[in-house]
Parts: sequence; structure tokens; C-alpha cells
Amino acid sequence: MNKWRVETQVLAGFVFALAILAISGALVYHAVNRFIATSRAATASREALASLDEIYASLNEVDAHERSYFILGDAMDLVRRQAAMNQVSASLSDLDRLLAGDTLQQPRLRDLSRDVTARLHFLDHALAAARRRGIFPDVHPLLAGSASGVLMGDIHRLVDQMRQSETQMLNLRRAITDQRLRESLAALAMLLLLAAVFLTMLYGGIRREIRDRRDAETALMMQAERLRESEQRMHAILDTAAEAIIVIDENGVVDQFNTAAERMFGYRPEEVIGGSVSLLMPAEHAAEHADYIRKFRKTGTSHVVGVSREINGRRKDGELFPMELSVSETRIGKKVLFTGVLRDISERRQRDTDLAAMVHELQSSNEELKNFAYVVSHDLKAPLRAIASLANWLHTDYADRLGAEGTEYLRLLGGRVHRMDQLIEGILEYSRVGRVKETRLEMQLEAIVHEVVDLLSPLPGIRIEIDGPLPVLVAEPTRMRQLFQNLLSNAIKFMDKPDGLIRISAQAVDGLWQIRVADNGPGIDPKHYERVFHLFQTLAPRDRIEGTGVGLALVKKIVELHGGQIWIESTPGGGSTFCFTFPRTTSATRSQTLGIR
Amino acid sequence: MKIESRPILLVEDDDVDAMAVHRAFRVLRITNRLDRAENGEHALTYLHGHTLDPPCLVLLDINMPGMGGIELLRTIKDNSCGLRHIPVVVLTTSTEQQDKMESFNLGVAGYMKKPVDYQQFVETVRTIDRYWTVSEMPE
Repeated sequence: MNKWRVETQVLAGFVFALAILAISGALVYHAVNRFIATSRAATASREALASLDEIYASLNEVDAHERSYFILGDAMDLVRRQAAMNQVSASLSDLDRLLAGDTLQQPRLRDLSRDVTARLHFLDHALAAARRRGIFPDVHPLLAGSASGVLMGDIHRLVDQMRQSETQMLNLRRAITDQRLRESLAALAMLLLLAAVFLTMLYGGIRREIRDRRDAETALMMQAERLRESEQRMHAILDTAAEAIIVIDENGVVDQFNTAAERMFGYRPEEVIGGSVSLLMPAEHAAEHADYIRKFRKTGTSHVVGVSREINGRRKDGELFPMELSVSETRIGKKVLFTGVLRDISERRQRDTDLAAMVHELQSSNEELKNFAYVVSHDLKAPLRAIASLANWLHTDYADRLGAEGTEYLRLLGGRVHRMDQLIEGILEYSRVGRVKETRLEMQLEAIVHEVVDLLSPLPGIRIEIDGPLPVLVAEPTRMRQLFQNLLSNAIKFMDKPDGLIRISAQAVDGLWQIRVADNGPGIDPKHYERVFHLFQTLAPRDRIEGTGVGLALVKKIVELHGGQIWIESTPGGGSTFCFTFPRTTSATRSQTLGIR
Repeated sequence: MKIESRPILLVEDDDVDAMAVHRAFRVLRITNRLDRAENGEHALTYLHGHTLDPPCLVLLDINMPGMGGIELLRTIKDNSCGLRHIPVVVLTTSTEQQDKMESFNLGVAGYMKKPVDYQQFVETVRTIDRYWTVSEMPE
């Protein structure tokens, strides 16, 4: 559109310039013509003046030769007289030609012609008379007669008049000629000026055009350079990408095939580019893909774009392998390109399979472990009971034969059996947490604590206080009872002061309940903070304070089972505080009722 | 026991446990004959062989090699046997909820835990004896 306008403008400019030049040219031509015409007229005037002078001079010459003949009788004078007469005639006819159309001079010329002719007649007559008489001096008076003088005076007057007129005319013509010459020169100058202006404009235009073109060319070259650069960059990106990238057009023809794709499929790019992408698929998928392409071309919508799928690819050697494919769509004008990013997931698949196998193995070994704890504890109990029974029977039946020492041994044996029984019970209890699921219920923590305190019935020297309101928790009731039973019985069991105080409090911290069981007992050395929660770890010798080392492990397991954490804050000698967190959930998380998993 | 003329069947694999029961019977002066089967199969054989002289009570252990207590209960409580009326008291080490629930679902008359301590064991047997001395039994 713009170009068309520019071209029209250029054309219009040219037409305008040509028109101006043509008009100026015409003006110049006209001026020159007029100059030539006036110049000719001036020449004619000058010639006319010369002719007038010639006529007068020749006439005088005729007269002079005739007189000379009369006096000298020389025949040569007659010849000369005749030549001068001819000259007069010739000059008259010249003058007639030169003054054709001059209305002012023509009548005068006619008069002059008549007077000249009359004079010449007179001279002829005088010559003839002289020849007849033969006396030359007689002719003189004739020649010098008044008639002759009058005639010559008239001629002289006429010639003079004509000369004056013609001189005037000449002067006028000269002025006009000068004028015309100036006009012509001016017109020419204007023409030249215009031509110069147009040429300058043309030059400017062409120069601008050339510059524009050069600029455009430079810009184009730079753009081409940039394009090449960006293409190189794109290729570099494509070829260094870890994922295989394949670009196809809407017909399924491969457009790009990067290095990773080359590695993945084993094809060289030139083997694939320009051909159908179905080469890279197993046969059944190739047919499906052709359908996709057909559907896309019909409806313009695609199911594959934007979603990541796992499909099989086919390598050059025919091997099928699983890959993850995500396709994006690019529209360049009317052209549609699909960019597929592919990742070989054979290894991942293998890993997944391995992982699944490992998980299965772990699950079964975990299951075995759970059952192991149960079965072992259970099966240990039968022989233990047998030992206990047999020891009892020995003591009962053979007391007289054992003596004091034997009886004491059997008592110790009974004690160890009892401890072992406690340990097994602990393991059973510990293994039951998490294995045996109980329905989680909303419960008043305060009620639970009261229940446990009643059950423990602590000695009169130990006070158990509830400090502030305790929250409502969602938990397995039995486990919560176990938790507080263990914490409180520990605090009671290890109390070393006559006025023992155990305080239970709760506060909300960071969206969790933080529950604290604080005592003023002996406290725990920080180096044991971790250890006390380990299974079978006791800090006091079992013979002094009976303990299985299961209680706190059980507590930790119960807290963690409910999604909390437990830790100790203590100063040796200044009592210890067991803190644990509990999620502030309000709705019960239901699980299977009392089922063994 | 309410009926002293009929035997009591003890299904128990552990000899010492069996001895403990025997001893407890003796200590508690329970006069009923105490027959013993070592596992579920033996118990079934015994029950089928003593249809004219069936036990008045079965003391049943749960964990036994071969046919265990729960499986035996299932078989006994099956309609066809004609043994459903015999009261069964489970006497076991197992305190698993599942065992307890299954046992009661299969209609046991009691579920007793075998204490490790022999004196407590005797007390347990005494409780069983007292109960079945007061309780009626099907003839």
C-alpha cells in the first residue's frame, strides 16, 4: 500500500517535472524564435539602409560617368554608367524585397522608384540628345538644369527620409532584439535552473533511495545474521538437551531430530528428517498416531498436547522401550508444528519395579518382624511358665532336701522368671502399638488422667495436680491410658522426695497441643535424654528398681503414632519434664476396629 | 464340678502345663477324671470315641502344633458333630484380641489366661472349678 503510494508520488513528480520542463522548453523555443525573427528584421533594416545608400551613390555615379563621357567622350565611361544603372536597379529591387510589408516605407519606395526611374530617363534622354548633336558642352546646362536639380533633390530628400525611418526602425528592432535575446536567455536560464533543480531533486531522491536500500539491506543482513545465530543457538540447545526433542509438522513429517533423540533411537537425523515419525513407533502405535494426525487435521484439536504420557518407542534395531512423551503445539502462521520431548524411562521403569519389589520385601519382612515379636514373646512364655511351675514344685515338694541355700536359689530363679515375664509382656505391649489398631475417639484428656491416677493410687506423699484445663484429643483411648500410666508411674516410681509433686499441663503451640508432665524427682542427665526412650533401656539397676525398659519406648511409640514428638526437659536433681506434642485435630481419623494388619 | 461322674478333657500340647493342671486338680481335690489330648486332631478323635461318655467340660489351649484351638472350636461348633453343647473354657497364653474375639464368637464359656506363676495358675483353676460347681451343665 505504502509502496504503491510512493511509486505514484514519484511518477507524479516526474510527470510534473517533465511538464514544467516542456513548458519552459516551449517558452525558450518561442523566445528564440522571436529573437531570430526580430534579429532578421534588424538585418533587413540594415540591408535596406545599405541599399538606400547604394541607390543614391549609384545614381550619383551614373550622373558622374555621364558627365565624364560628355567631357572626355571616353566610351569606357558609358560602360561604367551602365554598370551603375544596373546597380541602381538591383538595389531598388533589393529594397523592394526588404521593405515588403512595410506600410510606412512602401509608398516612399514607390515615389523613390518613380523619381529614380524619371532621373534615369532624364539622363538617358540627355545622353541621346548629346549623341545627336555631338557637342558635348551644350549638354552641360541640360545636366545642370533646374529640372535635373529638382529631381535629384527630391531623390535626396526621399532617400534621407527613408534612411531616417529605417534607422529608427533599425534602432527599434535592435532594442527589441536585445530584449528578445534577454528573454531567451532568461527562459534558457530558467530552463537550466529548473533542470538543475529537478536533477538535484532526482539525485537526492536516488541517493535517499540508495541509502534506504543500503540500510534495508544492512538491516536484512543483520537480521539474517541474527536468524542464523538464533538458529545455531536453537540447534545448540536442542543438541545439548538431555531429553530427546523431535519436531513434526501437521502431517507427521519429522522436522527436527536432536542429538539426544539420535542417541535414544539410534537413527541419524538425515535418516529421519523429512520422513514420517511413525518410523519411531511400534506398529500398533503408528496406526494410532496416524489416526491422531487425521483427527487433528479434521478438527484442529489434539488430545496429546499438554499432557505427559508414557508410551513405547522403537529403536532402529527394533527394540521397544518405554518413554515419557509430552507434546506442545506451535503455530507459525498457518503451519502447525508439534514438539515432542521424550525421556527414556526404561531405567526408571526398572527402578520402579526394583523399588516395588523392595517395598514388597520390606513389607513382608516388617510383617514378619511384627509376627516375630508376637510369636517369640508368646512362645517364650510357655517354657518360662514351665520353669516357674517346676521351680515352684521343687520348692514345694523338696523343701526339706534343698536347705536354706537351695530355697534361696529357687526364690531368685522365681524372681528372674517374673522379670522375664514382665519383659515379654513389655515386648508384646510394644509390638501391639501400631499393629493392633483401635478406633480413634474424641476424649477428654482430663478424664483419662483422672482414670489413670485412680488406677495407680499413688502413695500419700505424692501429689498429682492438673494445671489448667486439658484439651480434648482425638486418639486411641487404650494407648492414651498407657501413655499416661507409663509417664505417671515412672514419675511415682523414681520419686526421691518426701513431698512429691507431679503437674500435668497443656498449651497450644504452633497449631499443636504441647502437653507437659513435670515432676520434682531426681531429674535426668541430659546425656540420657535419647537413651531413655530406647527399648529395654533402664537407668537404674533392675534389682533396685523393677523396670523393663519398655515404658518410655512405648510412650514414644504412642506419641509418634499419633503424629507427635516427645522430649525431656530436666535438670539433674531438679526434676524432669516430659513434653509431647499432639495434633489439634477435631475430627476422628477412623481406622479399622481392633484388626491386626 | 457340678457333675463329678463325667471326665474333663484337657487339650494341651505342653507337658508341664498339663502337669500343672493335673497338680492343680489334685491340690483343689477335683475328682473328675482328667483326660488329655495333645492337639485338635486328638481331641476330635477323643470326642468322637467317647460319644457315650462325653466330657462335661473342655479346657482348651489355643496355640498347638497341628490343629489349634480355634480350628477345633470351629469344628466342634459345626452343626453336624453334635458336640456343640459341651462347654469349652479356653486356657491359653494368648492375650491377643483376635483370639479372644474369635473364641467368644465361636461360643466358648470362658477365656482364661495361663499365669506364669504357678500359685496364680492354681487360683485360675480354682475359679473355673468354683464356677462350674455353681453353674448348671448340660447332662
